[in-house]
Amino acid sequence: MDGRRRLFSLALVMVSAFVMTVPAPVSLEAAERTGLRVPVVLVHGFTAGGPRVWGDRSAEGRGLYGCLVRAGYVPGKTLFCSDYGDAPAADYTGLALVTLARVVSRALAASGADRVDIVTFGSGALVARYWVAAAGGGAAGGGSGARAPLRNLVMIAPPNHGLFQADLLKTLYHTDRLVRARARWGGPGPAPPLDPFPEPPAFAGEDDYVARRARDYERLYAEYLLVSRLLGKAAGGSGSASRGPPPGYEPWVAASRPDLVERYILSAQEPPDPPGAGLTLAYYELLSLRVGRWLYLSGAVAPLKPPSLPPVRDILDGALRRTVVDYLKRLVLDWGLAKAEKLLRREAAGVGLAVGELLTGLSAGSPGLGRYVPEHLSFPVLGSGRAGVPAGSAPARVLCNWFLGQWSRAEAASRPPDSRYVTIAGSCPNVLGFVGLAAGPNDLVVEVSSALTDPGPHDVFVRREGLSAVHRALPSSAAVTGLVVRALAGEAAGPALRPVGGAAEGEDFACLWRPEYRVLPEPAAGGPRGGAAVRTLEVRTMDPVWCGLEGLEVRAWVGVVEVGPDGTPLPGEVPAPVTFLEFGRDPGVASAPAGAPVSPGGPLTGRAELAPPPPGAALVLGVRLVPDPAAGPGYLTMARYLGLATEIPFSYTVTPGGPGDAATAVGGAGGEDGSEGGEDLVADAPGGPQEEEARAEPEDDRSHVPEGRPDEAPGGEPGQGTGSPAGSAGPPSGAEVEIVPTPEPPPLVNVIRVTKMTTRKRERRVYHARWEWDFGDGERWVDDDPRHTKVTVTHTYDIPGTYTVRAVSLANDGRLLRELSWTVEAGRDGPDGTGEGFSFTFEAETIVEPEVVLRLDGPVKWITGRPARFVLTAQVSRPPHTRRQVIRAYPGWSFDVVWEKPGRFEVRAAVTVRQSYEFPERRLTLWNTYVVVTEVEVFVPGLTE
Amino acid sequence: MTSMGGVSRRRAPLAALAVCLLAALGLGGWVALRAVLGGDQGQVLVVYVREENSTGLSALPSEVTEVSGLDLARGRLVLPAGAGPLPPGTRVLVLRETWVAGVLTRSRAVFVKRLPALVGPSEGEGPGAAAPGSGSALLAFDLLLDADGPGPGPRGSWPGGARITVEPQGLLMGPEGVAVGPVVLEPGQEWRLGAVREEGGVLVLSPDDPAYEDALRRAFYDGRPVSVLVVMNCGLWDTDRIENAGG
Repeated sequence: MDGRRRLFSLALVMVSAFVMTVPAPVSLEAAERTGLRVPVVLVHGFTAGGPRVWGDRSAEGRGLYGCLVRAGYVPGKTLFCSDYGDAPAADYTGLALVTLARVVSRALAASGADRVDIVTFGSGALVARYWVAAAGGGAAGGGSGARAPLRNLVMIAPPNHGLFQADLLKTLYHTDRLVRARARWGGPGPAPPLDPFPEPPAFAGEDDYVARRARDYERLYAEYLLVSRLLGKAAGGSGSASRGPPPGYEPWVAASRPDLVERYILSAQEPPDPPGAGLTLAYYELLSLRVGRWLYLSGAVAPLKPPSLPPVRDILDGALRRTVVDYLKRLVLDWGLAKAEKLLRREAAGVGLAVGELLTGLSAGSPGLGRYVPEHLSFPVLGSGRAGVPAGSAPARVLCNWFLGQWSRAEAASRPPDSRYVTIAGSCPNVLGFVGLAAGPNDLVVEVSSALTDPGPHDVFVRREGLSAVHRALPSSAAVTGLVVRALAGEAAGPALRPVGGAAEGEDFACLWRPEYRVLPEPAAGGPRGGAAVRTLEVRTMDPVWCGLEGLEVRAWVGVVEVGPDGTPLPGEVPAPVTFLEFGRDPGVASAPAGAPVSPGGPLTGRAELAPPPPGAALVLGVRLVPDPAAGPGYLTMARYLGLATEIPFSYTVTPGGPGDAATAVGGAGGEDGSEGGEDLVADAPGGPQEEEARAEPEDDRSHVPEGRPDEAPGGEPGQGTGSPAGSAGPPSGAEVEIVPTPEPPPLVNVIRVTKMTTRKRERRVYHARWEWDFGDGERWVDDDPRHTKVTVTHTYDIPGTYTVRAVSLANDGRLLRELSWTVEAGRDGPDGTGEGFSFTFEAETIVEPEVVLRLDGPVKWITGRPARFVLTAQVSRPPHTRRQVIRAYPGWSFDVVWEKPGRFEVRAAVTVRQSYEFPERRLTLWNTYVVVTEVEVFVPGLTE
Repeated sequence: MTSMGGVSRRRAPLAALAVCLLAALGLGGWVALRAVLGGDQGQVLVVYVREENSTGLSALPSEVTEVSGLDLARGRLVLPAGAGPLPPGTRVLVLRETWVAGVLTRSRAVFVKRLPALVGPSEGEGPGAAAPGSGSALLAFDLLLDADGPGPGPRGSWPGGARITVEPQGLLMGPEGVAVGPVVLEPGQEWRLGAVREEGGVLVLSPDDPAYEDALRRAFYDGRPVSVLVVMNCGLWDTDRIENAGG
């Protein structure tokens, strides 16, 4: 048995290895369908020449080049490479305007086509997109010259919004340079802080600016160490002690130097004059802040070093490489021997080489490095909710690479409306996270979020995950080459166009990562073509906010696509948009009653008049989600949904007549005609419990509320009360409530033992337990009555002076809920606050646990073998300062239970309330679970009491 | 031969059945044993210990991690890499971190099943950590943890309240050499101690001492080592709030 099992495992491994290493074959049928009239141009990235990326340039080549040849592309006629050798590309703009433009001209001339497909790897995408932004380079452009002659752009691992390592490289470069220039090592301790913090120097070049500014931040870092970490004072200068882990350096700067952050970072998101490398002054300030920290740390090491100090570069490079290898070794221990050992053996050299390439291929001091600085970097801020800066301690996105944004806008204007971008990004274990980079999912070189672009109607985004989704391995991976070939053919990676003769109505789901298409039916037989055969297309969907998809909006359009003689859309063609639908609130649905805890939104309806399509073409409906421009940079909005479901239901109908004609019945959004489905919910209106019912909108069973949404407190540090001794603000308007529906049919619980529980959820509540007051004069007071969530405290001082008062609200499990502080001056004329001279009154407010009343309705006597239906209803109050509530029922709002044996059983149901609070200084989210139990007596059928 | 083959064929299914029954009994017994011993304890008491040292980086850190594994605001605790998962029967989880010049050099999780327990410091571990013998980790002492009151009960409960006592071992404070501790900490309470290196040795100070802040500030700007030890009783935590590194 053992031998057979081993043999089977070996065969499995061999088959898997074979499948993984042999490029996916492309059938003759696929070759015929690849739309060969459009030539393909391959553009590699910097630090890697064409053959290393695309493989041998022959039909037997194992890379993408060989795949395309086998798929029918002809080198020199429909297959071209834009090569610039192995030299690192310092400036992609020159490559776009010269090298790529020349190759595109050649490709158009040789193939006779009027546009090209381009496939890129790595920074080759920036070359291609810059070429698009320059409208095809002028001389190579066709048509009107205002649009690039582009059909498909397939980008493999593109750093569209910069490289996260570029920031690290710049930091290391400047640290190295300034440490070497330092006159002496060791000596007395750090320099004392500067008060006030100096103004930045006039900008006279990056090196000069960082050299002067980093020294200011070196002192600030010393102050952070002393004040925050050693003395344990809370940020904000109140002087009171903080509790728990102190904040990191940047959150401390944000809390204790908000003016510095506001003036020199948030208000400096523009390049100097002249713009130079196109980086903003805010970026140079952030760079100086980080270099200053490294300067301090370098000095902290130096006194222990022998007099002959080794070059700092060796320390930095060596430390980086050593860390990567150490991490891989840790993978061996943590992930299991076989998988991690394979990674270590196969990728260690590649990883090391990639890191080495980053450090040498694009040298840290090269001016071209600035082109790859991330477009945005995050920095924690204590915002006041002003435009673009969220309130609380959420991180702000600071524009760093102004140049990237500038030409990206030009690209949007010169990109053909029927072009399609297909992005393939890789996500593997984040080894480089241990080098101190706060990078999101990445392939060791490019962050997945950096690869995203604001989607055009037809754009597709694909993410490859796993140990093999490493940057260097992506272009030669069989899965990716197959994706590319199919994307060029308009298949698989691209949307599938349903055949002509589509139904006059239908429903489906749209998402963020690709469009959904439906070919619309032809006008009725006998109807005049090109005449007055007017039809109306109506599309119904839902406000994305109602599906938990904040920051997104629905986009739908009607396009035209060429069809072949048999009426099938031509391969590789995308429907050129003709009309975009405008969505409005469905007038047929009553709005929510005033005060009812349901979020704004609801069903949306868009209408468009359909004219008959031209001969040889068909009308196509396209629907997708796109980022809402009002929510900030599109790629950052999209990055929030990486790894999350983003599906939204839609339905459509095509009816004769214009939009103003009497409408026929249309299907509900994602539901059956005429049926409502959905779940009853009972919620309190503010002000007290009431028996008010609100019926939820029909929810499709595939709608999804993403967990762990990033709109919750990312600041993570106990905030500081900033108010005067007056009351805090009232509840914010627009608090949202989401009730997660139970999918249809309701869950069925089979009980075969007495102890089988319908839900394993246990009651768990977090609530305010006590206040701890410190009046700054040595007097303290603890109020441990949980009911005292809003208190007014008066304290009288005996001695004139300045006092810092601190109030801390603690939960029943010991966690910190709120930390407030005031500074008062006792005994002076015109004291702060409401007190007189020596007496002061302080008001403090903390969370109020929602009042939850559960009711579980169902039979009290039942029989075996037949499902019994139970319905759970909940009354959940909305406490003050509620920002959001997500309410979920277990096992469901309604569920069935079957008993297979007679007896007395407990039926339990639970409701979890994810309660988010918003206070002036912080946001807080708590999870509470409430349980309700009922008893049922079960009999065998035929036996009565 | 036929009859022998027939017998062996009959025995194989019976043997397999016996093995399955034994395995099922064993598994059931193990599950019962865990339930009795409180394997699914539900809650643990979390104690957070932090050593802050102003000097003593042995190398420029390649790991510039500056985020603690403990996030009180969100009620999350991420165990150090390689430390998890939480072993069954753990009553107290001690997260002990060592920071040097604002860089996290070592993070260690200690799983305590019985009290009293001795929790040792980290010594010269991790990249960039204070080099052994550098004289910069002034408060790297063993800590004796014990329950104050009845202590932990079954299944992670603390019927008498989740209070603990903390006592640094061998630590003397002040010129008279008064031993420090034990200190009683209620859930949510924090205890702090500071130390500076002076000419005559190490001076240990309490934050209640009026000279505390001034002594630390002078030593810091003189370039003399300063250390602070912070111990916090974070109260009872549901085990599902304690995550392994990497999710």
